[in-house]
Amino acid sequence: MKIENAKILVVDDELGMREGIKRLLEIEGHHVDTAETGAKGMQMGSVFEYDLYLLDLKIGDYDGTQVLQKIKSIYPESICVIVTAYASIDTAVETTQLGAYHYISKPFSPDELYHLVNRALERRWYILEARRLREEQERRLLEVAHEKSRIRTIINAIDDGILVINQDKQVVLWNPRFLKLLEIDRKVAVGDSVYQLLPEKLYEQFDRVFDQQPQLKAIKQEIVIHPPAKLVIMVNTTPVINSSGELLGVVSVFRDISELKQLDLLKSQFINMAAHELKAPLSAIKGYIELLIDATLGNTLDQYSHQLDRSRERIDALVNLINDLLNISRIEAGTVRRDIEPIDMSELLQNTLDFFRNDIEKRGLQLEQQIAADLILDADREEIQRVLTNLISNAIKYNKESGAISVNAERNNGYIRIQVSDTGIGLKPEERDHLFEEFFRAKNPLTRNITGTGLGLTILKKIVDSYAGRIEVESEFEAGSTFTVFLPASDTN
Amino acid sequence: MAHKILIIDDDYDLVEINRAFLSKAGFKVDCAYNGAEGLEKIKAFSPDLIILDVMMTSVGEGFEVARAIRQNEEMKQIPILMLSSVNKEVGFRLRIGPDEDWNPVNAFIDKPVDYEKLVAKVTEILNSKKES
Repeated sequence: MKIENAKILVVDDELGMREGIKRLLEIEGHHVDTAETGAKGMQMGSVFEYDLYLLDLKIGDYDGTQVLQKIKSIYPESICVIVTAYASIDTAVETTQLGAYHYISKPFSPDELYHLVNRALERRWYILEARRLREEQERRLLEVAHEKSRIRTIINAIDDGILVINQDKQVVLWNPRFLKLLEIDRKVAVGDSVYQLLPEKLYEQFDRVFDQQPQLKAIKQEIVIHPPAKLVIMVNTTPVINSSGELLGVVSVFRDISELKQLDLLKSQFINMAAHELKAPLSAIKGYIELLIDATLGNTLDQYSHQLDRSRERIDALVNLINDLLNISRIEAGTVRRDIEPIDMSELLQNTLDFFRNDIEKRGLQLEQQIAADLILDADREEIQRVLTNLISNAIKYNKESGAISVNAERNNGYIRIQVSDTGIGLKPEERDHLFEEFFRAKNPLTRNITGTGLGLTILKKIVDSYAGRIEVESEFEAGSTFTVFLPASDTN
Repeated sequence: MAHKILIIDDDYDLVEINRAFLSKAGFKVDCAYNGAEGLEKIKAFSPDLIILDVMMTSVGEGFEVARAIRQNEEMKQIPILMLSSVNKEVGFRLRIGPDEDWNPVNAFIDKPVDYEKLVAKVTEILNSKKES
């Protein structure tokens, strides 16, 4: 192999020699440039790397060795052949030491020139090929390094913890999330044993994956890392197997499922509470029916009537409860269809009070009201009606006999402020904290006969919150409570 | 002499119904509507058996009352029959304490209550207590 159609620079001050060499090499198909002075030779030879330099050792103004040194300093791998009329062992050794490939003595035959140029171009070919291979390898190394850093970046960005272990149960790769989830503070190095690194219940899992060969399967396990912190992690360990079925190691993914667990718990608590609340009225109704059936109890007509009244009340309460449960579920699922329209709160509140007038009178309650006119807000009428009904019916139900109710409505800093006060049973501070929780009901001898679902205030708060409003409660135990609801007033106010 | 039974339950109706059936069965019945009132009544009434609702003001309040009874020297021998609506003790295991197996209650009856079963269970517990 040699370079065909090579680019060759001839530097010689003798015109005949320059032209002679040029002609001979052009016959061979090479491209030849010439320079007649050392300065020009250095200039031409520097801007471009020729495949071959033929340098006269004695070039009028310059020493040929200077040209050689200059070119070798710029292109260390270039092939330079010295052409000299004063060939001697000394010159040969000297120029070779300076980096010349070979030399040729003047005068020389065309064959001698061809022979040497061919060998030089062969050498050139090998140098170029080696350079090409070297560059390719460098490029590949760069690519690999780039790929590695890209994978590293991806793994580090994943929100799950990742740990890779080889067949000797040594850690090979991990991401920062893994260290954080397992609260590993110590410095971890490639090759550390999993037994040093992981809690016992975790490396048991790896042992199981390693031991179950040959039918290797992924293993899923929930682990609780620090019981007081309630950190629950789902660990998914997958074996990595090569084409001949040998286990190379395992990849484990650690996912924090604490929140899901917490939601699960809340859900089952809610279902327990709901079941209890649904069964309680059924138990009472069933009990009353059995009392009515049992003739041996010798009940009076008054007692029968009372039992039937109570049964009817418990059935009504049960229906209300089921409706409330459906309402909560709809509000939470966001599937409530709302018809937003301008609502005259002054009118709606007045209507609601009129609706309850009978109940208010029946309990001998004094009603004080102060309702500003033209309180307009944009909302769903049914939902706002529900808020008002809930506030006023609570003020009646939980009031004391011959107590008072005071209702106030006015504009307040862009809000409509509705305040309902009663002189009823009031709340203990600890009761107030739980007031808006599902199924919470203040229970004491005073509330014994008051029916309710325990969901009314929960729903009220959900509605008020959904309109970006707020509710405030002031209360004194056995003295009364004041509920204040703020709802954003319509812009047109 | 008639056995004395104390009902501790916050549901006014259920208290009335249980009282009617147990009175008819020949027991002397008193009632309390919350845990604190219940503990007071135990001292005053000295019941032979307590019927306790599992969930009153709060989840598991029944168990808290049961624990308080078991930890009181004068009351700890009184058998407790617990009324529950949530599949017996399931869901409250952790609240029983001091360890999971320690159960302060002698028997559970599921709501809605079958009154023949209730009377039979009460009689059975009182009889077994007499024998031991």
